[in-house]
Amino acid sequence: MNQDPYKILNINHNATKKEIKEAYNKLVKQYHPDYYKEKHMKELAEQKMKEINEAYDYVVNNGNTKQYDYDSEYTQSSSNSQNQSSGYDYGYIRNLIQSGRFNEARNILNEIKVRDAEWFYLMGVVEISMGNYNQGRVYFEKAIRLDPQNQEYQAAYRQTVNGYFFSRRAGHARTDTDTCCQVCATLWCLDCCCECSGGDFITCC
Amino acid sequence: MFGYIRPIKNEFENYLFKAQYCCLCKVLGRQYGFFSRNILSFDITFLALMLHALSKHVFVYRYESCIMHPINKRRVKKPNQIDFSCAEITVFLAKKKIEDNIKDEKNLKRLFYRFLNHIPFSWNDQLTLENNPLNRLFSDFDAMEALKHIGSDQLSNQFGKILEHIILYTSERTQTLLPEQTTHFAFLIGKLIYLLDAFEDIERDLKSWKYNPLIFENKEIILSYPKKHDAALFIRKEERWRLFLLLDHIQYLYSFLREFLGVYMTEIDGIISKSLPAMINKVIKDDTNQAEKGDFHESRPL
Repeated sequence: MNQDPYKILNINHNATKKEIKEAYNKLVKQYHPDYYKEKHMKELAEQKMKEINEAYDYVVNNGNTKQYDYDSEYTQSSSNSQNQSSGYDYGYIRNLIQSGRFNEARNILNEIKVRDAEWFYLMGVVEISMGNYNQGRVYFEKAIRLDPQNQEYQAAYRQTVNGYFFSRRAGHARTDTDTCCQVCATLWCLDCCCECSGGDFITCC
Repeated sequence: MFGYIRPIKNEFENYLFKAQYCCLCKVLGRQYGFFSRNILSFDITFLALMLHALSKHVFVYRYESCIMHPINKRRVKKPNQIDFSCAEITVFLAKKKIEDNIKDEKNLKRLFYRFLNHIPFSWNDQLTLENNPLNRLFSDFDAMEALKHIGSDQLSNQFGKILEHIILYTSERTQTLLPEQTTHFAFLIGKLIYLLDAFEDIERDLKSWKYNPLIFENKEIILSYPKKHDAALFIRKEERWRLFLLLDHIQYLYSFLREFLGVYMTEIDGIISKSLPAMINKVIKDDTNQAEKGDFHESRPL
């Protein structure tokens, strides 16, 4: 199953058994193949019903787990810069992504067993950069769910959905360089002005 | 190919894109027979433009008349190895398209394409692409489409890989050294072409119940909206973020690639910054952004 079963059933993760059942019944009423006369619509409805049934089975069987975790071994809600159990530093993976080595970054991420919010975020960046936009979006959603306070994850999701993920990243990089250049230029100007008026702002030059 | 990557009308008239287009048209006519001029697309012209820009070779223009413009001579670029290679790719893609149509169409249309396939446009003797990995990529793509439950990302990525290999093949043939980002750029352009085509076909595919990944990914919309037109509009609205993100991705990558361009920079800049947003707005039928609307040639500019 590629999609979030809770999303398919249109329920939140803390839904009670009664709420799950009600949501399921509502969807069955809406999408039951018998309601559609046209052959192709019937086929579509059958596919949709299959998804709904799979999602319902999953939610009922794993209903006691609070954290959403349907395709990973387990997740951890804390976001650390160092993933202790795997020994890999997320900073290194960030550098790989920065230098465009996405396959390498993806391989290392796949080796990590403990998947926290940072893992989902980085995987989202890798997937989007490789052209898998849907998958990337899903990973960002998971990262936000695990760490709702993190502004970086929220910004990445917003930028993806609004279609300026890459330009914003490039913009940040450019702004940083500009600021650095501006500081250097200002210091140099100040030093020149001071030297002209008989003083010295930076003694070494 | 589909002709989505092209300059807006007033830029087409002013810049060198037209000279490149005429050059490819003439090469096709001379190498593969008069009728093969009809298969030339804007996408391949863009590919030729990119390869010329990256190769930084010096080339010359001359004024020639053609059958469509016998009186007024037109500026035509003198062909080189890149143009011959792009012409070969054009014929190869047209051949694949005809084979594909023979499989897909029925009755009279199928007969027509079978007839077309047997016309010896001097194609088969001259194509050296028969044992190329491109063939395998095409069959993989066909197999994926036949499964009818593959998402739009996977299918468009496979189409992107085809364009990636086309640019690699052409650069090998012409011994052009390409910057690192070129293959990924070609991949994204291929992805965009596939997605634009899928977007444009939503209504037609809904009517004929043909497989379209964008429809497949939005089953619940089709089931909830009794009118197909409304469903198509809703799918367009729901899925357009992909096109905007892809455009952003292409423009981001192009900002790196731009440093390596020797010639045609104005033309390529115009296509990336003006024509692509205008084409996307046209395909998603978004009339709200007037500033980015563009006017395109609806037919071939011969």
